[in-house]
Amino acid sequence: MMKRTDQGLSLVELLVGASILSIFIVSLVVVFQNLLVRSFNSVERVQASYLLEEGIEAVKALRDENWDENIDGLTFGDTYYLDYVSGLWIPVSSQPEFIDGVFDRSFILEAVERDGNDVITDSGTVDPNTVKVSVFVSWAQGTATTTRTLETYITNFHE
Amino acid sequence: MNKNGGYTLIETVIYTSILALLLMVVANTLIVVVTIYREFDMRRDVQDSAITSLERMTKEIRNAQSVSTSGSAFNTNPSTLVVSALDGSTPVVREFAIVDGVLRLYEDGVDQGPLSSTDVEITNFVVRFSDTEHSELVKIEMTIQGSDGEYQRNFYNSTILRGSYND
Repeated sequence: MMKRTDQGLSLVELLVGASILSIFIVSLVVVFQNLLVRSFNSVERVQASYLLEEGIEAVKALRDENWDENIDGLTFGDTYYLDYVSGLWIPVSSQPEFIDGVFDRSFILEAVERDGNDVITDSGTVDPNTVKVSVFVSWAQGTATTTRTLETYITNFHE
Repeated sequence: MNKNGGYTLIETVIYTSILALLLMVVANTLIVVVTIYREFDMRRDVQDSAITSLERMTKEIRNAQSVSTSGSAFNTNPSTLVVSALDGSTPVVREFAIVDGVLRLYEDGVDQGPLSSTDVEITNFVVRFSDTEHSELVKIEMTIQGSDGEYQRNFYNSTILRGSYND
């Protein structure tokens, strides 16, 4: 320790004090920047969740329009995309442009099997009037790609 | 070190420059913090307006029996959407329309208030109508602009009228 009588702060003490304050301030700025980045992502997540919801609703509209053509006519397990043409949602197999240049939306249909009690199971009899729908929305978040999925079952109840 | 405990000129100069530098960093930090807060606030307004508008529209469309194709204005900006619903056994006509950049809900012609914040502007509101074989579907495309007049985001949703399933 420095021997002190009537001396003020030394330069070294001042520098130490200044650095501590600077570290405090810089950490504050970093925290706020992180908050902003999270805020950016938050809006995108909201957009993506509505796109997912719309995807499920659009596949149900495909069912309502024509089960044989729009649902049964597709290859189960293949990736399809949604397009809105002259007032109707239609399934397309080629990837369209990203929504807003950001979001990629696709869907997959899978066959559903039921056991003797009509309960959906992994191995049973294929139910031709029930299909599992999975909708995917992906977008770039920084350097990584985020994908959100929504799944449901649809039935051919119009038959 | 000075014997009388005072400062030399060089010490004073160094001290002053460090202080000046420090003050600049502090001032800059404050400016950054305020700027970020405003950005944050604006984005939150856009997000909140989108959620409130879309959730309410989705709920009311889902609940409706039919879309009034004569009362609505489709495929244009701004569109107007009129749906007929049953609240219990009482028929209700609900209208969604843009007034001065704000989405408003009317029930039987009575203004129920704004669904989007007055701090944001809905610069694009297009409603499309899909009449499928067994149901009716409403597609909504909405662009919400923040108060800085630059930040804007698009929100989309499609909803089938659950009351429109007749056969």
